[in-house]
Amino acid sequence: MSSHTITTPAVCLTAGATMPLIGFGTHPLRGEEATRAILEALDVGYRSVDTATRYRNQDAVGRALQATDIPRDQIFVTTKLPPDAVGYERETLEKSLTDLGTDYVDLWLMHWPPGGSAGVSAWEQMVGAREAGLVRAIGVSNYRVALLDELHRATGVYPEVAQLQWSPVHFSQRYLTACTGRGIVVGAHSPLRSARLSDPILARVAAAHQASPTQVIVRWDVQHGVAVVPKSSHRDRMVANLDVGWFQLSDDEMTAIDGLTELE
Amino acid sequence: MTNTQAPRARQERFASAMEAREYDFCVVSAPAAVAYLTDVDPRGFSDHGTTVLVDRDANTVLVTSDADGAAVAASGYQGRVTHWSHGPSALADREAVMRGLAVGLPYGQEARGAFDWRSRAVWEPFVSRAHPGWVIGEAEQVLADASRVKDEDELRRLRQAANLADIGYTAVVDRMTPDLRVHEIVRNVDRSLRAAGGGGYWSPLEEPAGVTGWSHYPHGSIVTLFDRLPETGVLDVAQLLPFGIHPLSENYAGAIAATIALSEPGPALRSQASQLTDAMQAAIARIGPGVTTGEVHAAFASVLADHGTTPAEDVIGYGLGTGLTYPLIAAGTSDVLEPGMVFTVRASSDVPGVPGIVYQTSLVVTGTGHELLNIVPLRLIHLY
Repeated sequence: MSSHTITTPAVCLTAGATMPLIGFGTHPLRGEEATRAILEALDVGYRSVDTATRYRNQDAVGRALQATDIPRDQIFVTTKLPPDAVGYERETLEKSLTDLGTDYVDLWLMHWPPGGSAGVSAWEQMVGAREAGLVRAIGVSNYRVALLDELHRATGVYPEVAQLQWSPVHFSQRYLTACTGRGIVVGAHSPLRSARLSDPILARVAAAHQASPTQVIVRWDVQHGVAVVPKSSHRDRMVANLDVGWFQLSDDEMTAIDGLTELE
Repeated sequence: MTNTQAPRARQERFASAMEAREYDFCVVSAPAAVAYLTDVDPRGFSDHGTTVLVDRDANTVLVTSDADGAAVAASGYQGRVTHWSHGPSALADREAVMRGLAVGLPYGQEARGAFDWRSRAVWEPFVSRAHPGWVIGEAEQVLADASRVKDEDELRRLRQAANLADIGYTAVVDRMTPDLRVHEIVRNVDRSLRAAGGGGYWSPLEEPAGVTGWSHYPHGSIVTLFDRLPETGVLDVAQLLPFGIHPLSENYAGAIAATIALSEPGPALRSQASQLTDAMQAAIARIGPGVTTGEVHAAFASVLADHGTTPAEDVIGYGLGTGLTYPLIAAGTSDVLEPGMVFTVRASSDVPGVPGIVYQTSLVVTGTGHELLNIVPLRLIHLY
């Protein structure tokens, strides 16, 4: 690794919160292992942590938030409402806040479309939670564009973030364009697990920049304006995933990686 | 591959339980019992009749068809195995093998043997009035004694199984849409569990100690839709969808159930669901060391009584191991809970003529109370 300062790019969400484009994914870490990994991630420079009610590690994230000397307002905390909590949104959020040991979360996502629907009633509760100051930003995960529009039609409020499984294999220009046009930031979950790291195109681009294929994928996400949450328990990989500010992918390289998609 | 030392430890516990009940040997054929003693799960075997014989010195013989020899070898079981020959003469050959084992028992006419109900058909030809000490149906009690408190290896497996059940649960709930066909739900769960390293599953039709009657295992699929006939069609969104998932991890069982509403329930149904939630939570809150199973059931019944109703069933929980086991959490029972006991707690509320509400989760009794093993919520899930 070169000896330069790691800087994390960030994006401003529509309600005013500033979200780092590279965060630390915590699934499936639990317990002490999760706390240790998050403290390590904070130590190497991450300022965004992604958890969920479903992950059963919010308490471990909370212990890390208490243990670190980094002020709470400098750490962007994301958690997610599971679809089986529709009708119980406020209790679920309060449990998240208790487990996390904080009085607000920075981003609260609906983890999955409940029953395949937009989940308007839950979205109304999420909007209410933002108005109450319990969350700074709200969004969704695993939503099709039609469902994003349905939320807007019903409530007048678009999600600020739309997270979904996203890697070169899952790249969708149509989804990215649709979200950008609606002021929505795309978030990438499972960005490395679902990628084909041995792909010759990724290898060629990585070699050209003396970077690793995983760094190329994170860089590709950042240049698309996609918020990415890679997960690793190993310090050197945590650093590598965060340290992508020292090289730039060309337009041709971006297009070549976009072309790895199997969706369109 | 399972821990090859684990069956030996369980065989010795089983032998101690036999000794306490003054039996010289035990014969079991229930799948859960065979799995407990050998780490071999016979539920998918070609031939029926797989049996385990254990004597009071913990000498153990697994008796199975040679057609299932490869499955036994793949299980990693390193104890003594005797085969009968698969094929047209299988029954006669099995009888000869069993007769040889029976004759070889060194206990004479005064021997006291405990059999489980599943092994009765296999061994009854050799159980005669000449052996008044050979008792049918008592091996279940021996197994219950031996498997009452779990060791560390068993707790590890049960936690894995609970995790698989949770993965299956999320595969149902996260991907549920009203237009799904039932076989698509099953496929989603099956794929998720395989990806997580899971494979087999047990049947909720199994009774405590693994007695499954005489039908061939498995009975159904990895996802059981309660109160519904087997169906492959589109779901009826007007009806509740109660479902259960019962995966196995290294032969140890997970068990969850939940109920999805695919359309808005009316006030009466909401009230019923809420009452059952309160009762279930009261029962679980009561669970801890020193408490009796009857007291847990009483906590459950008390909440329903406050609402002017009575429990739909007398049994709201079972021990959990290689399948369902004793003790039961049932009205009027007095088994004292101890740390290391694992239960699945299940409550249902009948809705006449249509699928009702079912909640089920699993937990381990700890030194100070209990620890839930599952994430499944004990409340109606609104997906509409």
